Amino acid sequence: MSELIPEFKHIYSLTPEWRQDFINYLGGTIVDEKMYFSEKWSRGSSFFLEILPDVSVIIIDTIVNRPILLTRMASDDDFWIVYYDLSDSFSKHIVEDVNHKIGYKSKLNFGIVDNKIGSSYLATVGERFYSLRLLIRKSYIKTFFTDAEFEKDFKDVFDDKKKKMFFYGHIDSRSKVILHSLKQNKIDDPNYEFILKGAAFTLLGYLIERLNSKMPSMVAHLEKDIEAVMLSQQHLLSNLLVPFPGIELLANNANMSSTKYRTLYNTIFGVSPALYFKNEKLLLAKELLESGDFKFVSDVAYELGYNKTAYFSSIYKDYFGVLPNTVLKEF
Amino acid sequence: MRTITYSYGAEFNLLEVLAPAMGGSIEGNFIKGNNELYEGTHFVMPFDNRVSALLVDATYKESALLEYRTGVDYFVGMYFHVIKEDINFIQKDESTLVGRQDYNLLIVDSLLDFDYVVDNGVNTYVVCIFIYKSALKEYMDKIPILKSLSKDVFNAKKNTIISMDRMSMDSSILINDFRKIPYDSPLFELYFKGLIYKLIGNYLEQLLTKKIIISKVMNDDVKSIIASKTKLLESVDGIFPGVDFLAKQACMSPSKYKKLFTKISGLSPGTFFYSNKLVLAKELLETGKYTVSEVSDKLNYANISYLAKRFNSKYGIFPKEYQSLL
Repeated sequence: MSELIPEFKHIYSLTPEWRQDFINYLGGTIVDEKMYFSEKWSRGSSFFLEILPDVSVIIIDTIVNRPILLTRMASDDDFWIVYYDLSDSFSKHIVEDVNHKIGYKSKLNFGIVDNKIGSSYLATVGERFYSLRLLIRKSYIKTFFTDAEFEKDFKDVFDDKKKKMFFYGHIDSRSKVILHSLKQNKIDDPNYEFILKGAAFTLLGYLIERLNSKMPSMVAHLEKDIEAVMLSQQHLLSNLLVPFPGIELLANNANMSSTKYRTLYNTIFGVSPALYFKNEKLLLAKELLESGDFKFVSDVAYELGYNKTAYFSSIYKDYFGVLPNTVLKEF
Repeated sequence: MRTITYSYGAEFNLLEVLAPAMGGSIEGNFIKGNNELYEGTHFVMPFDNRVSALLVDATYKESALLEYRTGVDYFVGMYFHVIKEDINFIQKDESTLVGRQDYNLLIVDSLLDFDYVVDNGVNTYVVCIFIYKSALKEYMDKIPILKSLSKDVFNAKKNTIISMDRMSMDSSILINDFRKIPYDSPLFELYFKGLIYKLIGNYLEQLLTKKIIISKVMNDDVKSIIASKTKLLESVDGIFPGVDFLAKQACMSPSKYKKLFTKISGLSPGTFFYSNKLVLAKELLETGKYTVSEVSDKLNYANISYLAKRFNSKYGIFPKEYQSLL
């Protein structure tokens, strides 16, 4: 699929220069902190502010008009990118060739990625895409971790040769409330700069608190372990049409014990492998139902390896709130 | 009565002025003091060269007259008061009460001298924002409906700025949330910055929507509305008593009550009540002591799903989810 979609490669930087690439490729205009996209690709705007010498914030609020793959190239600038995604639907975030669906309804709407790892973004056409990103220089984050304990947990993360920061999860409650109220404000409001600054500082505070309390265990994993889990996850995703293979097999593939695999999987994705698998299956089911290629719900259920249509219907309804039959009729 | 004079102004040298005046000691951007006059903390935060902020959290041990003298004309001070008891604000021999039931947001030109009279045992919690007039004018010029005004407003010959107002509900929620952060938190500065920007943003929004208008002299009607508002807040865990009942208590007709209430708070009595209920619900959830259904019972919601629905529409997240992701 991605071969047909035009790809736009860009970088981020802590200073506003990165925006020129966007304008050159996508068209549009830059007015002070604001950036308006051209109708050709998307309707909407973006806002960029440097709130501290080491921290910048980006807001992107747009409706994509045609599919485009945004690829952020890895660059040597030493900062983290923290994603908060409040889009109306799913966007696909691809890091090192593994898909992560992030968006409002999905579990994974929060991410921290080292600028030295590239990633791609595929937004859904026709739906509102709303995302806030914090760019934070690593040396600045370090200033908050002086205790010996954190020194121990975090040391490797700041050492590029050993590990790079890479985390996916969910937005914590307090941040979600902040983002929700920020989302009510329009970028063109004259007081937007203040509102955004206020929100960004608060989010930064919450983030550091969160890093302090919960993250150490999360990032104290070896990169090769994380890679192995990601690989097995990819394997899982490419075999959506068969029943869940079981944790033992997956753990075996990743060369670790099932307990370790499960814990690691949970910290990376925030859900258990089985649940993630089920959710992905249901998302695929939705696509299949909407594709119009199937006449009966039972066909879809069978295609996805469910023996009982009634069971499939009931878990589908639990997840989406509508019966598959209703979806089928609509299309 | 003790008289303390603050002569600040040029270069926002607040630390150097406040510490000796209060007899406190400087620790970084904090001034901490505990002497025969007061016990408390001041926090000073310069933002850029045109905006600066000060937090005052002090309990006075004797009655004091605080004199504010600047002697310069290029900035405006915004003072957000969170005070239980009333204090006297004196400007040009005119005294006004400032406090929970009166004005709590003052905007004063640096050109004007003013005094506070604080009684023994009163705790004052004030967030002050000092903005250069030139900066404020720039922002106001961006707002179409204020643009025509700003020329006269900022002309020192024609006008000195003084306004007494009530802060919006959002602002007071922001300040209350902020008060939960301990002074020794390493993130105190970040959250304080966040607070200040949000307060400025909020105030500009208040100007934009112009929902809140109070004439300069507060009459008895306005006072009784504010009193009734405070009562309403105290019984926020109960059932909404209804406008008719509230109006009767305030000795007004329901329509007048509703109209005035909306004018003062920017929200109708019902909306005001239910939003505050949700704020309380959020706070209870944050304590981690209650389940969602306990909160719903405690606050007299008919059922959990209704609470969940309202909570989600206000905060964008369901209560259960909010609690589990804390």
